[in-house]
Amino acid sequence: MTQLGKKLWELSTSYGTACLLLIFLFLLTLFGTLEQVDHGLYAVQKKYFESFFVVHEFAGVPLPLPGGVLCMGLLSWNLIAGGLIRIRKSRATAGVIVVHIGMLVMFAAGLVKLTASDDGYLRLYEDESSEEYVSYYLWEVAVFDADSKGEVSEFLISDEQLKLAEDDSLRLSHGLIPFELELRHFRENARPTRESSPLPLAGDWRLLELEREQEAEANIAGVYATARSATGGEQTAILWGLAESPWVVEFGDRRWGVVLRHKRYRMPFSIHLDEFTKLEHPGTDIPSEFSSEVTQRKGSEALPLLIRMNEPLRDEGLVLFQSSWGPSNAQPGDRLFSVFSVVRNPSDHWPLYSCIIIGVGLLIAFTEKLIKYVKAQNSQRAKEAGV
Amino acid sequence: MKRLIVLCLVLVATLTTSVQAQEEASSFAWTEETLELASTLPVQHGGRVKPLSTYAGFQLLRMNGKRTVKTITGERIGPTAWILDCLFRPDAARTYECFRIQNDEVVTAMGVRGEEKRKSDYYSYDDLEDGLNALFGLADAALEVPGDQRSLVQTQALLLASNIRDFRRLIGVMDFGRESLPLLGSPGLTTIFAENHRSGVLVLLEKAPELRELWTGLEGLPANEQQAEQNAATELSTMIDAVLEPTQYTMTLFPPPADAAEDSEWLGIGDAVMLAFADQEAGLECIPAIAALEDLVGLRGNPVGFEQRFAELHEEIVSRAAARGEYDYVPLEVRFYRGDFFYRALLCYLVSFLLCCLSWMLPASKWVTRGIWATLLGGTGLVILGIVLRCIIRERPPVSTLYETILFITAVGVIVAIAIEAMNRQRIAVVVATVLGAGGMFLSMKYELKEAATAGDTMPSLVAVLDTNFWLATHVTTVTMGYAAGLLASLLAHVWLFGQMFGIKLEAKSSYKALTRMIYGVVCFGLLFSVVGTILGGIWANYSWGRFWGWDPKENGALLICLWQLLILHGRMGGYTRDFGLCVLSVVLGVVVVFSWWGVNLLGVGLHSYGFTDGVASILKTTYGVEALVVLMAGAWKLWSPRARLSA
Repeated sequence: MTQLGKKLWELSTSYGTACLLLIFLFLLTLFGTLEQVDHGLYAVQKKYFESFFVVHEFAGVPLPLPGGVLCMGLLSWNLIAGGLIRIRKSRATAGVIVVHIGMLVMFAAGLVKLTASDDGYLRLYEDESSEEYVSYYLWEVAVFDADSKGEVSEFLISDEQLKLAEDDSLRLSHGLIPFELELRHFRENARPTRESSPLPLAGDWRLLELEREQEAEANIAGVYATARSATGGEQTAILWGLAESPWVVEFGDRRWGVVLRHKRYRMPFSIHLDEFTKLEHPGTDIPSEFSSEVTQRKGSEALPLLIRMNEPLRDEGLVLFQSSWGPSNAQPGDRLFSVFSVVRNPSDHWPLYSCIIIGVGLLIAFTEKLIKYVKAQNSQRAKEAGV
Repeated sequence: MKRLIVLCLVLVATLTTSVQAQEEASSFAWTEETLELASTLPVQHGGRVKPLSTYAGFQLLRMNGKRTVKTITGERIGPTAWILDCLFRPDAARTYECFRIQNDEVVTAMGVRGEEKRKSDYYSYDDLEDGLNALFGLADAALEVPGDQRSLVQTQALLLASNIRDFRRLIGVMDFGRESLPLLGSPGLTTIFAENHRSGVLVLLEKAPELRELWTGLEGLPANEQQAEQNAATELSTMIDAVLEPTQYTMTLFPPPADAAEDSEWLGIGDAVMLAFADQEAGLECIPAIAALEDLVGLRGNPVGFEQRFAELHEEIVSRAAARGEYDYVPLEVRFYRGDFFYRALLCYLVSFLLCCLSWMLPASKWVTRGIWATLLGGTGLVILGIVLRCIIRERPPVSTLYETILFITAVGVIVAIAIEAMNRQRIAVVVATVLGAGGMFLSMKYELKEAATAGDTMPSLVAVLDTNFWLATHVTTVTMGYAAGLLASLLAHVWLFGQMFGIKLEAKSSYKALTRMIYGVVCFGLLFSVVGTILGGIWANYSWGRFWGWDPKENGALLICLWQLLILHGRMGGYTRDFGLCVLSVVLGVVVVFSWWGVNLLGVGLHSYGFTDGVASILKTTYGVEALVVLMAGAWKLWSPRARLSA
């Protein structure tokens, strides 16, 4: 190892670096907590915890800080290199090493969740079924043959692709459609307007970009779309997340539907809501229980199940949680809908494993210290008594 | 050791012999037996079945900040006697000074400020009555102002108006048995009620079949007779609504049938009357109890007769509640509140602290030492007993509300301090234990007042998502143990810093060194519970909502504690902080704990916004400011004091 490499190794694995990173993480967490009051969770999460660098305004003075991703990345390195490799291996450090292993398991769980999981919701009225759940805040554009019968094949443009259309135009072709689709001026929160706006007109309308909402799911996206046929025809429209019906593109005697909607995920089973129950503590409006009696269908198999608060349905790598209900202004006897949060997370149980490992490690480490402390106290007392 | 145990027991016994003293220093009207029966009468309020004495206690606490009230003769009566007076002797109850006015600007604005009254004083309903229109006007105007912009007078006016309305309802509950109904307003009614000479709604229920027949057969009558009957029916109905209206907003008295669903709502008097009139089984079952209540109205001047009839009513309601398994913990809850464990624990801790002070002057006195331990252990025993009884009554783990965190954190902090003292016998942890105990109990009593004003109970019904004893017992308990350790470490660090700054010599030469070891040990203990508790919280969230971590303020608060504790330990292990640094960082740890425990609740965002913390902001800001001053003072001392260089 070169001299520089050795120095870097020592620096990056030192207690000093660990302390510095802990201070940065502490500050990020503190500022990210306080700032939620004004900017909401989603924006704060992006700014402080899912970033490499962040500039925080502290009493009007800009304070540059490493972002959450950078901090946690460096801390992981410090943990592996300093807390597992470089650390002196002895009985006294056994507990600490176990704790560090547990921390790594937790970080790994976070990483897997961040990169390999998805989540959304499924809203069902009583007697409704679905085998899809919908993302809270990711968008997609779907193009389909408007006149097809039965199962409809769709050409999907993902949220990542749509983000590319924020500043540039995105031109897409697909075997399913005999035209080129151009998307541009994608805006995460916008509404169509006839009033003035920096964005161009499409017919009588144009998009008006709005401030991002504090809660990401409250944003309604919009994008300009142009369909160009190889034969020279061209049609333009604004796609908006709350549009009541798809934009219909006609070339010749064929029609295609184009829709901007929240991203949909398919489940390997369907859920039918048989009955939703909402109970309140007697004489109050404090909810005591929400539960949904559902039927899970997998092929020809139908399984009656109960999903309730703290008791989700886990199957096929998916977890369905009782989340909320509606309509909020429902009167007695009205038909209710139940909302389930749906999560696919390969590292679902890893936090539990990490908790057990960390707990055991801390117990080992601190029991060791406690025994030493008691022994020291006893010898100290004996010494003082002797004096 | 035996002597110590005996001393402990004597102390606790002395403090608890006066169990009923305050509560049942009865008003002249009620016999001891009546008060005993009334205190254990089950009622449903706030989603749970509780003793009437608990309901009355919190009503009184909300109105005047105490569970006792002064009558016109200067006698102090407890909540049960007070509520019996409200229900059956409203004219007397109106004269009791049960409204605490914290700022006389409100009563001045109402035009009813008594000349002999102090700026903050107690008023009776009669004292305030002439100014009620002005009060309701003030309250209506205050409602137009956003909550965070209301002046003190506006806030007080709103609170007083709400208390007045509740009091009016309470004294009006038995109007249904007092008021004479217009029963002879038409030929049809006269025929039915000709022989009646009683007031109250019972007579109406007795004649319900005839009345139904009369009113369903009106179409056959000539138009003028029909109109007369309709007018009389409307007048009667309006009067019934008026006399039953106060019963709609207070506790409900009548348990549903034994075979009704587990979470069935109890019936209030008004609902029961209406159902009985409509010939519904649930209402008809309540007629004996309604009759008993009406009789009790008439018996209010006859304490012995009242007691006998009340015993019958008590038997009726208790047997119905017991058949549903809803009476099991009612007597225990009565004993819990009579025990007043947390107030008595506060007294124990204060005595213990005073004895600690005495021990500095008389270090060799064994009796002082025994006294310290007896009061400290006695106080802690009372806190533990109180927490255990709450767990039994609620059928919950020790912590499920913000109020309970105060009790639990105090108990854990004191127990850990006692354990440390038992190990090193430096007489430092024991002092800290008394301060922590007294502070915790004082805070719990203050917060109980807030709970009375908002939830009307410190044992509220939990929302659906919290209805899981497993996670309450694991995550909530461990994370609050982490809070307790953080606060204890901070208190010990204050002792070290102030001791060093002011040059206080401790008993043994090695005491300061021992103190830093204690702090380090407590931080380690805290880290174990903070980390495990925080991760368990994430696991609960993951298993209940599908997300392990959501950067929610309360989650972040717990993370901040973990990070700071890790910083302290890594700084110590890396040699960056020595004794002084450890203590300063531990003082800051206390601030972080306070922010996580209370501060994040004030932000008003996130999923964990629970607990009523309005009014706590100023206390929190003061705490942050004082602690900042402590850290600055310590820094200055470290930089400029020659003694700092020597001691460090």
